[in-house]
Amino acid sequence: MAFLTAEKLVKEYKRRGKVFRAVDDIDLQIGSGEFVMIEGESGSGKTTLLNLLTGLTDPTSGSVSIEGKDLKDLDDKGISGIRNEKIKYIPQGESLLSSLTVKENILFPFVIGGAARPSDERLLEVAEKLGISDLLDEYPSDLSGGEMRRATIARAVINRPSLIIADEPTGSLDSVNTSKVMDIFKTIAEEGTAVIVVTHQKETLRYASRVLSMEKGKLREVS
Amino acid sequence: MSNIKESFRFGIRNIRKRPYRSFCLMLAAVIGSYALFVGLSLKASLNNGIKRMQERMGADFMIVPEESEVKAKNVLLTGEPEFFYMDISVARAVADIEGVECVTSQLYFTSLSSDCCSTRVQLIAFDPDTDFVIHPWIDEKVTEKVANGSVIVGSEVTPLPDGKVKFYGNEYQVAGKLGETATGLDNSVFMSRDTMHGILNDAKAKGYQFLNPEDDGSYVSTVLIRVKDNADITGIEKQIYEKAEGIKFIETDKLVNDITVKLGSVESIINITLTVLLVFSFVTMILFFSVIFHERKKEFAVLRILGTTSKKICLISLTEGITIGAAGGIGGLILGILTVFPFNDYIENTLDVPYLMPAVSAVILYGLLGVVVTTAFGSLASFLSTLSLAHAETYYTMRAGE
Repeated sequence: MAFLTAEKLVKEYKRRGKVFRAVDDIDLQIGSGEFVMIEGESGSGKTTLLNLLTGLTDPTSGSVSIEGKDLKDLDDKGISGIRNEKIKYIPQGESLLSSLTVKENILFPFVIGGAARPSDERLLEVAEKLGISDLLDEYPSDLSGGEMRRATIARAVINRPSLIIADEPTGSLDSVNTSKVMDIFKTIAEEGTAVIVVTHQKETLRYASRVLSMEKGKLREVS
Repeated sequence: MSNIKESFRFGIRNIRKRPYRSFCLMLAAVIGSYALFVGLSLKASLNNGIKRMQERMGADFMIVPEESEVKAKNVLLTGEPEFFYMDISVARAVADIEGVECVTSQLYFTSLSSDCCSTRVQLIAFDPDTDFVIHPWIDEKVTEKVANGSVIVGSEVTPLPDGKVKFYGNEYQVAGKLGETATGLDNSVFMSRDTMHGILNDAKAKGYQFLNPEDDGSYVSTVLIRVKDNADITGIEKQIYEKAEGIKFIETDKLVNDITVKLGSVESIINITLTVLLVFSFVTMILFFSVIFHERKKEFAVLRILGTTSKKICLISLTEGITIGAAGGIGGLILGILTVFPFNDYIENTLDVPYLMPAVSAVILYGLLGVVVTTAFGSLASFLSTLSLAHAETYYTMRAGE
């Protein structure tokens, strides 16, 4: 059974009184250990699709299931629990909490959910791989855009979740750090975590085990 | 958040990390708590003052010399020492009137603020045999009897270090100090007619001839009357005017009512000010929280992304609201204490009505009420401001926050 299944997924918005389909009848299955990359032009519906897959927005029609459970059948606590432990979403832009240090940001999901926090060794290992080990006690306001991005990625990967969904995670990174991040995603996928990455950077597609392309709300298999 | 403690810790971190924003929010709570504490303390002090004044009046009516009505009111209300008198025959005439239960008289005299006297106060001689006004009050607070040559002082009269007071060169032992009445009587010294006789003699010896001490038994300053239940007041008043000339008949209830009317207008001003400031405090907190939470949309969206439930987000913002409301409330209370207590006398003199601070327990209650109300304001304002955010789709909240 696939970890994530989307069936006939549709999301419509109204723009100036006209109905606009951001996601148009998408079927998708993601299995454990898959590294899927989705490319497409801006406005093609990639971010909307990711938000539907994480339950952050409700579909107009169709369904999303995680391990066979339809998200529609779960209450707020149920969906929040899945986002806290099983699906880690890295949204576009900065998403660190400004009142917490980098270390506190990375460990925050464990404070929220009450799950056992990872060991200091694991924290240091992830931080070193992402080159932020000397920034753990800093506040987000003291970091550069790239450093914040890497801290956000550290927060997502630290507990080896079942699925990582990242919206342009390397957008603000240089080529060296982009490679580091993609290597981490690849390693984590090899360890059994499903990874979905939306990207504009064609050169990163080579890391993926499967590439999808999105155009005008439709999703098609590229390779 | 696994428990309330974690929500609280995160909320506190948010407050500490943004001190200026938090300070502005607290300021709104300070205003609310300050207004409530000061307003309620003032109202209670005024009501307490009038209540105590009513209790201490003792008599139903007063008779004073016609031209001395204002002076008599001054003695009772402002504590301004006055000296006036009329023939004692008035007291004798009143005693025979149908419906009068008891009559007593008092003689007023003043000390001076020169070297001969420890302070300028109202001296009041009463007749222990007929008195029904001073005695119940003395018995309540003072155990020692008022012996000849000793005096009882009002609450605002400070004796010399040796426990005596000096009038016209002679010292008198203070037998006791009375409780506060919020009237001019707090600034008075009470004694027997014999003691007053000695003081008048001393005054005369020093060249202050107010009244011939040989005749002091022939004069009174005020005649105090208590009537029987269901007595014909108008009839009594008419008979008094028929029997004595040059006098003024004052109903003590009317005197209190006049003050109550004045008090009512002061109280209305306090009520309006208090309401305006409380509404201002609450509305400001709602506006501040709404604007701040609107700016923090992205932060709330991130919390949702990380798996925080709507309920926990409300709990976090509630923690911030409660903390800010309570901290501001305590700040307002401290400011209120620094206003009400040190400026007690100034407020009393400015308002010019009987003013008596309530018991400590009541003051503590007003303080607590102020803190509780602003804490409720803070919680409600933060809760209302979060409600829409917590239940909005995170995707839109995230985009709106960017």
